[in-house]
Amino acid sequence: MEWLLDLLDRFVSDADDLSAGRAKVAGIDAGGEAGATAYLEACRLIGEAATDSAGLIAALDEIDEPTLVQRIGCLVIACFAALRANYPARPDAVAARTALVSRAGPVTEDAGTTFGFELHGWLTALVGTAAEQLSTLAATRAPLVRVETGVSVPAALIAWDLYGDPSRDAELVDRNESGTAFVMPVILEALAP
Amino acid sequence: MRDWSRAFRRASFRGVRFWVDEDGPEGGRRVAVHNIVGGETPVTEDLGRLPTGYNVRAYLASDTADRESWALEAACNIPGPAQLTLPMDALRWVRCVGCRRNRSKDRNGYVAFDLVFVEAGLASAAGIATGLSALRLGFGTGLAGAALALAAGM
Repeated sequence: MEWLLDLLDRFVSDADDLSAGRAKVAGIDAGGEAGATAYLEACRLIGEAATDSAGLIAALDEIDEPTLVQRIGCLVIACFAALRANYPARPDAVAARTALVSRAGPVTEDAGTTFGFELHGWLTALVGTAAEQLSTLAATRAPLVRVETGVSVPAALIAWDLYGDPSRDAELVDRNESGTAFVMPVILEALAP
Repeated sequence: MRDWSRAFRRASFRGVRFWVDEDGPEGGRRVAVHNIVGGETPVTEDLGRLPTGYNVRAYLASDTADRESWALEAACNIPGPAQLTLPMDALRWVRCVGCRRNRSKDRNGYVAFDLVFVEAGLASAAGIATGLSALRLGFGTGLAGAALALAAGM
């Protein structure tokens, strides 16, 4: 379970969570039901305690040729990490929900075929709960608006016009993947003021 | 003319989707009837609104209907209120109080359910788990069975 320890070291910084996570990973060696419970608990803890949830979800896709057991663990991590991530806009949360459900489809299918209905039902219910909570989260987030400036202007000026707060320029640069804050595209996306 | 075949959405409970044959809310008033000795006219008393119940005849029909039905059963057995979406009604918080699966050998690939829900109500609304706590609740429910199944492959 080196890959779990690697994720723990890379994404969990709180000392208590780190030590609890290592204890869970060590418990996997017990094998049997106790080992499997420790494995699923370790996955939950990593998903919940990660400081960079988006980075953690991206890192799950970098695991080289994961086994089915690893894919199940990754799905549990993704469920918790997706709820911990920050979604400034409604479309961000909706996109996360879509990505989670897409990730879950083949994993639950294979898990059901290999391990039976109990695991299939449990995984499906877990993903369903996560998707439901992401929908609730999405409903509380601000929508995105399309902004047309006509001429290219600095992000700080747009942030001032939209929000009355020029310090939110970085948010506009990030969302529109602009190379510089000084020259913004003439059509861009922004959080609704 | 309106295309009614496309007018209604697919239903879901706790995020698990299913199709609906029949559904409908059931409500009314809680009325006490007082029988007075020697009286010729009954005395009735309105004690308030009955909690709204929902009887749903649901079904799953696909090549994976067996797995989808396990997921729906699992969703019905998780404790606590959850969101119910019915084809014609707005989303609401309910508790599942009945889940009966009906499979017939003559209709392979088709699994029907008789589901009974009751509105979650104000008292329990305060206890509705949301966000991470809801996910933790779902994680803990059935974890032992899931771990037992997974242990075979570890």
